[in-house]
Amino acid sequence: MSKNNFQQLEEQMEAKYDKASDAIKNNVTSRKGTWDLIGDLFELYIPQIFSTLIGSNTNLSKTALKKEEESDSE
Amino acid sequence: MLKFLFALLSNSERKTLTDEEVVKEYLRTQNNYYFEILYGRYSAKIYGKCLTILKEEGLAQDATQDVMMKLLLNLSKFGGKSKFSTWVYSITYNFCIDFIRKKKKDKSQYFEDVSQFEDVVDEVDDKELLEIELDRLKIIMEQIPPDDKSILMMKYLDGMSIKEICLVINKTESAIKMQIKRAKLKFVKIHRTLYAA
Repeated sequence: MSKNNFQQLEEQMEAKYDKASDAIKNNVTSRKGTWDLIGDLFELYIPQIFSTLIGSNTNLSKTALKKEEESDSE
Repeated sequence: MLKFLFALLSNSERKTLTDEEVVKEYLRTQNNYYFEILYGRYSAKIYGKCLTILKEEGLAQDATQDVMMKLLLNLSKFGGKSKFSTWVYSITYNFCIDFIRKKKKDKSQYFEDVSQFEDVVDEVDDKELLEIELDRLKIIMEQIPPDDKSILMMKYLDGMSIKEICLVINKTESAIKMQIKRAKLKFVKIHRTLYAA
């Protein structure tokens, strides 16, 4: 499609971007930083939480098994 | 010297990589550098579209931030079915239309009956729209409802095909054709009302 006045209108609107660009960039960067941090925290702690849960579950079942064995021997 | 060479190299990479390649690399590496490339390519365009539809600089600024975040969080959902730019603009248009709808809480006004216009103009020539004076175009676009404004922008500004517009608005081809026709009728009606004689 050849250049038309719709494109010129958008170029006029885009020209106003310079005024707002710093504020937009700062805001996007800080929001992205927050998301990245949340992602990192998840990545770091979720596997640990799972392994703790699995570990405590295994311990519980071991204790239960021991108790069962003890009661059997009695 | 090394810094200069690195800057030169990364600058040429910035220019040569296609949008799709940049997205792929960003998803693979999660490196901010690739997001910066997309940001540089699209932030001004998104702002321009938001400003045209929302009409206020403050709102356009907030909308641009929200659209950029939406893009970032949904990059993995870009399947490559359409051009990346089409995908970006579809998020932008949908965001702006939703924003106005939520703000006004009255969807009905965007689906007003346009049968009143149909006796005024039968068929509108694209040339009439494309060659309208810039100042007039600006004033007319300010008076057109956001739905119609967006569809005219998709067709005449972004050069999207009917199929691409279908994907953006999620409507059938015949519904899109009808909506374009109605938007053009409104456009011409406003033009003739404001600038008759």
